[in-house]
Amino acid sequence: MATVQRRPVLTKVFGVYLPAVPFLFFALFPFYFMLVTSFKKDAELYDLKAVPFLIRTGIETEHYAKLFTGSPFLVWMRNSVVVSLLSTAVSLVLGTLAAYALARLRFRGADSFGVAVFVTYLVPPTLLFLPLSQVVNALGLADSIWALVVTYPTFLVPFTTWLLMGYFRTIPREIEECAMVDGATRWQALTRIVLPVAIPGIICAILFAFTISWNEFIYALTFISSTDQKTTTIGVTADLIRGDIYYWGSLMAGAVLGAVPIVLIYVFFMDYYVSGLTAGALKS
Amino acid sequence: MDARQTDHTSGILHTPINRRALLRTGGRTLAGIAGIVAAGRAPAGWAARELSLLTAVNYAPSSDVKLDELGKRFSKQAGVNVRIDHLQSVQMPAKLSAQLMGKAGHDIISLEMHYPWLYRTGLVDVSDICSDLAKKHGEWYSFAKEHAYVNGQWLGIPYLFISFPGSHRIDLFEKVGEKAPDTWEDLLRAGRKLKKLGHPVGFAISQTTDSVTTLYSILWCYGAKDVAEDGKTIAISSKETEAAIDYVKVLYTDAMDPAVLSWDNASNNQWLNSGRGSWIHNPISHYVVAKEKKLPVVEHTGFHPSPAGPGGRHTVGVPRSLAIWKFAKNVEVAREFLRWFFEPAQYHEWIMSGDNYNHPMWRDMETHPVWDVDPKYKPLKAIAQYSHLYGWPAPPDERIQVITNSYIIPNMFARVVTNTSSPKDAIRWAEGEIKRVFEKK
Repeated sequence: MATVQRRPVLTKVFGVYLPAVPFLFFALFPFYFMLVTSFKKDAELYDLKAVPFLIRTGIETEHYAKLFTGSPFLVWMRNSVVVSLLSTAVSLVLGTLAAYALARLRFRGADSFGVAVFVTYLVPPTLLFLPLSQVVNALGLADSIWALVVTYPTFLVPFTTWLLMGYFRTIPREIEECAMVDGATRWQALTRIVLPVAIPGIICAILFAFTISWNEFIYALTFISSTDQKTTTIGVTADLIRGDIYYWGSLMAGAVLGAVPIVLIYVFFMDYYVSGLTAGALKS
Repeated sequence: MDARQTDHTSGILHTPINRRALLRTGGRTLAGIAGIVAAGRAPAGWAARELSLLTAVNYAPSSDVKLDELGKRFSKQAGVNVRIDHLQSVQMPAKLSAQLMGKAGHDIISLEMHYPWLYRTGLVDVSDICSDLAKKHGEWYSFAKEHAYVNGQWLGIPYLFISFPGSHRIDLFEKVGEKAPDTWEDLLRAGRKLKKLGHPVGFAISQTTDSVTTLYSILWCYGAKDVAEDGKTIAISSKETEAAIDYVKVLYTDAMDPAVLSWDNASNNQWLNSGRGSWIHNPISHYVVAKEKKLPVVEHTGFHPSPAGPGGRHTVGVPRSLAIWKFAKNVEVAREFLRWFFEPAQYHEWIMSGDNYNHPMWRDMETHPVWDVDPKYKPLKAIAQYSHLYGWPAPPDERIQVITNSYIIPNMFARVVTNTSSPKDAIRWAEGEIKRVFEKK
């Protein structure tokens, strides 16, 4: 009897938890290292004999204090939140409409248009920032966070379109056809039938779009100059690296706090995220 | 056919509103209003007079603080709103390229090395200011002039240079019976003993600008060069280059920390300040930090001239200048600011603020008090006399900057010290890469 009970536990330990350990280590190590470094004293940080993964000489919160008092870190965080939320919202609206059209409507060139959308996503931002800087200047948005709100959808819209296109194709066409037979318009079929069913896919797109916006570097670097307009990615590296001097403690403190919003949204929406990613994996 | 129609009675030009025009105008207006609301300030163009500066983050933080302070003072005096932004020096090329491409950006920008050559099409001629400054201070150091004097015009006003002396641990060198190395051979001899003692010597052999600087210095000291004086002949393939490579290979094997292959620009600072390293080739930033953080190595750290070799004593001087974009909104105000900044009172105040990390650019300032802010800086005084731009003795050229940014020189050395290539093969590879850069023009 005892053997029968122990088997599921052993299966869990050896079949689930142990295989997950290397992945957990791989995923969490950077956070652990950032956290440890952010609480180390300068003397220990500069001591090559010290063990880099442990704090031996006591915890120091000065790096966090410096981050908040010596730099406009909260302003950068606010800017990152505003830019990421707005560009995600804009991209989601445009991407949803485009994805629905490409997945559902029959028109000439729909397939090639879908491929073109994907190819657009593949053009690297390191090539696009130069022509886009002309667009930003023509719009009079240079050196403001609105330059980013306008330019981030250039890579987010193709991405969300492609992702949602795949999701919409997994939703049976019949359910919206039923609604339309009952008198719903195409718009009503989309908003009342398809979108509620597509919530996991949409949340998945939101998560990805938000994360990409949050981490974006090259556009934020080239379109923004003023400290009060910078996002976290640019602000932290501009103010906490001075030539060949790296303020490691504060840098890591900035990295830890900068990762918090992303961690939070993934924690809250993990289930949706997983089901959004695995849509279509099972035949219904 | 032009869609616009003129009302002949009033002379007003009417543009029929079509869907595209409406979308364009509406989009701009919405984006503009949204931008103003979010930024909480009017666009730069609306301000009465605004001057914007973009400089690379100064390695001596107090210098940037002083520059901001001077900007505020100029604001009060001239009734101009001065805004100063700072960016990592490695991020400057992307920013400058975007500004040049978009023909909009800051009024004044700081440029280093061959950037005045790279961005010459967008820069204002400031020869008038430079000739006035030359009357006051005499000539700039030759490498400073080569950096900003482009095709007969001054396109930037050199305002600082960063030097690369040798930095050593006085106590450790004494312990092995050695003095500060005067030549690269001295360094090898001392380095062998120091490595046995557990305190090797080191400089980056990796894709960093520090590595480019040190390895150019060694090449020159052994009589080698990558491009000849005519600026056309690729001269990297020589016995002198082989001798320099042989030297670095022996030094790496016998006296250096193998970690140098993975170093970034910060690693050597950290390494010396940690107490493990005994010698590096670097600007004095590590010492500035050690003083600021009160690290124990401060009292044991010393400086000496960049080592010499059979070909003489040479190293890299990294000059920076202030330049004005042609498309700047306030070219005249920018000129006004630069004239004011370089007046002795302001310039003296600014140069003194950086603990001599920023060296003055004129020969007549070799007696400037900034050289005496710390008695340890004495060997730095004459360093400009044997400092050169990357690519020396070839004349300055934007293609040299491309060679630098492609890290061809460090990669050539890295191939040999890691036994990936023989010296001859590595040189052949570098020659091919340099040729490719030169053929692109």
